[in-house]
Amino acid sequence: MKSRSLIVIVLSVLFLMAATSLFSAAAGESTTQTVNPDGNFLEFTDSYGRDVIIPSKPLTIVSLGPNVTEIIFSLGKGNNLIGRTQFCDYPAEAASIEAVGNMQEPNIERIIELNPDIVIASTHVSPEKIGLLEKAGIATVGIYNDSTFEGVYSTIRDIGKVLGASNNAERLIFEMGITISDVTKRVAGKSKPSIYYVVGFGDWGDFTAGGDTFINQMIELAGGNNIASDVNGWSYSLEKIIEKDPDYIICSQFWGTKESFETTPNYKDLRAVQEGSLIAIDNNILDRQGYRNAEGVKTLAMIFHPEAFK
Amino acid sequence: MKTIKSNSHSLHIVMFIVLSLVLCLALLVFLSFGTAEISFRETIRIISGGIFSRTFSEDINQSHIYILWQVRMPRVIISILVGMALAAAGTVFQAIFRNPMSDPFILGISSGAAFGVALGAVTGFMVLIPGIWGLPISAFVGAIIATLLIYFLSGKMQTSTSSLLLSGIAMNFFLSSLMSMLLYFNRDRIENIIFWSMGSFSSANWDKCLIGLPIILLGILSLFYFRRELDLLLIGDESARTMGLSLKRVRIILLIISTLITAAAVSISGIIGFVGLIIPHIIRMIVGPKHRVMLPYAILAGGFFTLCADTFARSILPSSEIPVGIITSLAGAPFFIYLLRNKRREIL
Repeated sequence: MKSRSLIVIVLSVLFLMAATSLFSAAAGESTTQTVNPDGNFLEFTDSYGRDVIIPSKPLTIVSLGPNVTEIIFSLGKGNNLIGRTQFCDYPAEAASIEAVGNMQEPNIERIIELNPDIVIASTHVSPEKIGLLEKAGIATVGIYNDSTFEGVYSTIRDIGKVLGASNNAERLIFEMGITISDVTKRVAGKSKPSIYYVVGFGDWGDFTAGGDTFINQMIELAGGNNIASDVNGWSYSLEKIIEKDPDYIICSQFWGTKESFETTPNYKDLRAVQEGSLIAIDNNILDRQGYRNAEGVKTLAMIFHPEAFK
Repeated sequence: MKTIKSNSHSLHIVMFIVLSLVLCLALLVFLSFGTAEISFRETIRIISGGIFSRTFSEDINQSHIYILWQVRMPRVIISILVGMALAAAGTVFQAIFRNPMSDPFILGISSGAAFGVALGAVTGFMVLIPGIWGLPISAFVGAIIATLLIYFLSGKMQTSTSSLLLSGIAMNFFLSSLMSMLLYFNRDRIENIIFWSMGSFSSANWDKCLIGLPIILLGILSLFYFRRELDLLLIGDESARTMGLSLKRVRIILLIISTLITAAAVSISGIIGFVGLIIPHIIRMIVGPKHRVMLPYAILAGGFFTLCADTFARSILPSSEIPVGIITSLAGAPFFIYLLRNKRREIL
């Protein structure tokens, strides 16, 4: 009797294994080819190193990053956007587009339902999520590059290529280059004020843009001297800020940061705050890699060297 | 390990004074530590200059004066205060629950205080209370609810180690899930909420000192008033009743006071774990379990421990800081496991 029940068990297990593998084979048909409007395809290697085949002139796009959304609009393809993350808030027209989750948690089901011709992801999206979209037959690319101006230009070029808007991409890059060289000319030779850029402060520690960050580059281009350039990364300390006594402090205009800075003990006593040199800006023009970064450099330069822009 | 079971009252008073002076000296030495480079000599000059109101010759860096008086001084004072509070609370909890594993963090009371603050911040309850007192009051409300839950869950008196620990663990899990939920629905206040779970002295300032100093010092003094009752709590209710004392009321009072000083500590610096666990045990191993003797030493040792932990946390890296809760957990967790293994053998 024992050997009989053993045979039954073994056969059942084998049967189950066969059944499930058949089932998953049928269900999991992986394809990176999609049916697309004018039948043409494009071979593209994305920033994650994936070689994908995508439609060459996608009509419907889902963006999984605020900077991607901004670039899509600046390339003139805003009308083709049918999905964005909940944090994509620029330009204003993005508000009317459906939100499909955020960078870490995109709403996969809804994206599959929307069936866009292409999904463009930025950083923070996990490879598993991209894999899920791929399995559902949705062309997905991840685009991000170095945090430098060259990297930003590459990102704009990549997105332009993917959307069939390469001419617009080159035009944007050209305009950005003009803005930046204009700024550089205006601030050349002027003495650089010392700057502290606030990413975070107070109870949870002091965070700024260290010497190896993109924001540090932008501060330097704008004719400023970042006091935190002696560290790499984002972590700093209040004592160092006090010791270095920056001429200007740049913070975000959102989340009540400026008001909070001006009322927190020890921070409010910094000379820059006392002298009214704590300036709040739209930090997204610096944080989000895209077309607005050139405007970001100019904004900083106008704060550091207002006389050069009269 | 030999215990110094000297009943000489005067010996302990002398030792206490000596150790307090050592603590003050440590305070002074550690003032010179930090990310800004201030030598010990410069520290002494600035401090004595401030105390004796001397003016400075030009070679003193003005920012250093500010850093020492406005940033570091409140910070070292607060780190000592919080250590004292947590060690005192731990000692008392261990007596009340008659359980060597009790400590404000393990029992979930610190988490209760942290959650109280998070909830108060998010619901706007804190701003209803004038001045800076909204914070500690929110912390206290959260902490007292956690304490009452633990107290009733563990059946009001002694209970086996495991069920008390389980109640504390359950409390911690429950509260941290609640905090995560708060975080999820209030992403714009993330930094406010996260701070309270990580424990740090980095935002110490004189305002926080003003809150902490009276509550913690008065709380600790009042605990000391009950030192005899604390000893009695350990021998059990029946024996105490034969001595004609009802401990029930004392237990509740001690519970409230310890919760109050825990809440004050958490509202100043967030959750810092294991101090209330390690310190009472180490002191008991050295001077014996009588609270009249060990409580003052425990308080001093607690202050000294967090002072050292914080100094280490803020000076080990050249330009940034490690959260102090990491240091205390690194020291405390292995000790906790060691205790658990020893106590289990005793119970069996």
